[in-house]
Amino acid sequence: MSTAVMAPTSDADAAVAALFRSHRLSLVRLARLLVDDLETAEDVVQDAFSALHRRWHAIADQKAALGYLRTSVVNGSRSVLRRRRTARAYVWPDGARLSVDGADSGVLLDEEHLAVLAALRRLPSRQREVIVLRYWADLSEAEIAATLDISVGAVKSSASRGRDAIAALLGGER
Amino acid sequence: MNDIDNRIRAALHAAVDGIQEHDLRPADAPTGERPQRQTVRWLAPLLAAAAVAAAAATTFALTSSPSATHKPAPPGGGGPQPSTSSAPNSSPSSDTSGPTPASTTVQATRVPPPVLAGYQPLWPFANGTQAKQWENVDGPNGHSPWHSDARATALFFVTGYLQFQDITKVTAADVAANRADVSVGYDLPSGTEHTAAVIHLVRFGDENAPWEVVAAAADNFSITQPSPGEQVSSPMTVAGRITGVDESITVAVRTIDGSVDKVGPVPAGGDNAPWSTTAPFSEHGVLTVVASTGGHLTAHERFVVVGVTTGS
Repeated sequence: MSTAVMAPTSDADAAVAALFRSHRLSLVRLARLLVDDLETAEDVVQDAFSALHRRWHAIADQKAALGYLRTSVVNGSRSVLRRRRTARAYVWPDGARLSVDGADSGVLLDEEHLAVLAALRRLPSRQREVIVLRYWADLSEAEIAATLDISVGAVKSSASRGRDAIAALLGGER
Repeated sequence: MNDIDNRIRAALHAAVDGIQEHDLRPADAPTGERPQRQTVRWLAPLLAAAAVAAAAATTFALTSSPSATHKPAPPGGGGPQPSTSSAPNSSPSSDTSGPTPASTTVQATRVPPPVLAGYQPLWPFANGTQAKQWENVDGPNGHSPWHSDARATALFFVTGYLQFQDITKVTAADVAANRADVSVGYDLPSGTEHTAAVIHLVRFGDENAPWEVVAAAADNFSITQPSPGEQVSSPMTVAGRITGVDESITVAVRTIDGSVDKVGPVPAGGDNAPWSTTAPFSEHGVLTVVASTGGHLTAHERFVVVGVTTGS
């Protein structure tokens, strides 16, 4: 939701504003799957748009810009988790459910979804990112590879291992 | 399409597709010019926060001991005296990976949410009433301004209350409006920093309320029993898991008035191996259960803290 409507002062302003209106929500949802809470997800996305604006003239087209934003969000989310690596050993009393059940969106998830999300959070970060980009963002293997700056082969292996690990954690299903 | 694929896809969509525009904080796309409304809205709290931080840092540097100025300060008289090199205002290490900036100013605009329920306040205030008293009587510009500094509070908790003098510095901090994770540790002989634990703090109130320690966590070392806030009786079983070689775990049961019962050291080690001991205690009320391990380089290489109560 944008509150301060301003006349764009440059092509970068106009282009980034258009991307902001179109993609901010979906990028926050993506970040929310990769970090602890909605506010952090919003911060990660805001930072991604700020970085895009600063480097706008080095980016060729809008499609590339969206890819840049997606990469920024994934990297930013990973950085947040890295900084909290030790902190995450502790589960905040009122944060445990928030971290997995989407309570910040007003949606109460059933046990099935909670179990899947809990399993997802136990994956290594790379596998978790691949799983989210594949199953939620519906990106192709090539798009995931570009987003994460890894090879298509690494995407395939990460997806396979992540999927198998989730299945195992859910009870051995493959 | 396999069933597991459908289950993963369904769970991910269920988790976040309900997030709508109205759930997000108001924000504007970045522009080449600073939006006037936003600048005005952000400037006051930012300047206020900066002023408070500066005042706290300045006064903190001039305050030799937090216990000398306020009742809930650590027992033992002298209290911790952090050196300049171990100033708790040190910044967390920056993270430069990826194209995303490491920090954002958005957080400063948040309205602190209401008091969080479910925490066991441990230190420096015995309860919310004492915390409120400091806020009303002293505040960040009065006595013991370190109460408004999460980093200082965390370091004083370790060096003053727990008496871990080998913990000398804040190694990182993640401070939000009403909760903070402050990593504490020391420099290894190689010169690199070692984090012994992450101190978890909350504010029992708004941005003027003091910080309160509620727990501490460590990498690959945990207390799984008792649970935070659990009602216990003496002797209690203290157990957890640890990854390490030739570990030596000491368990201390502390109260805010300075009494302590210790048990151990308990030999432990392995890969996520269980450890357990029986800890008798003589005090009642809120108890701080501290498990620490060390002996390789320092006495307290890692430690974890859980708050429990005897219910009386």
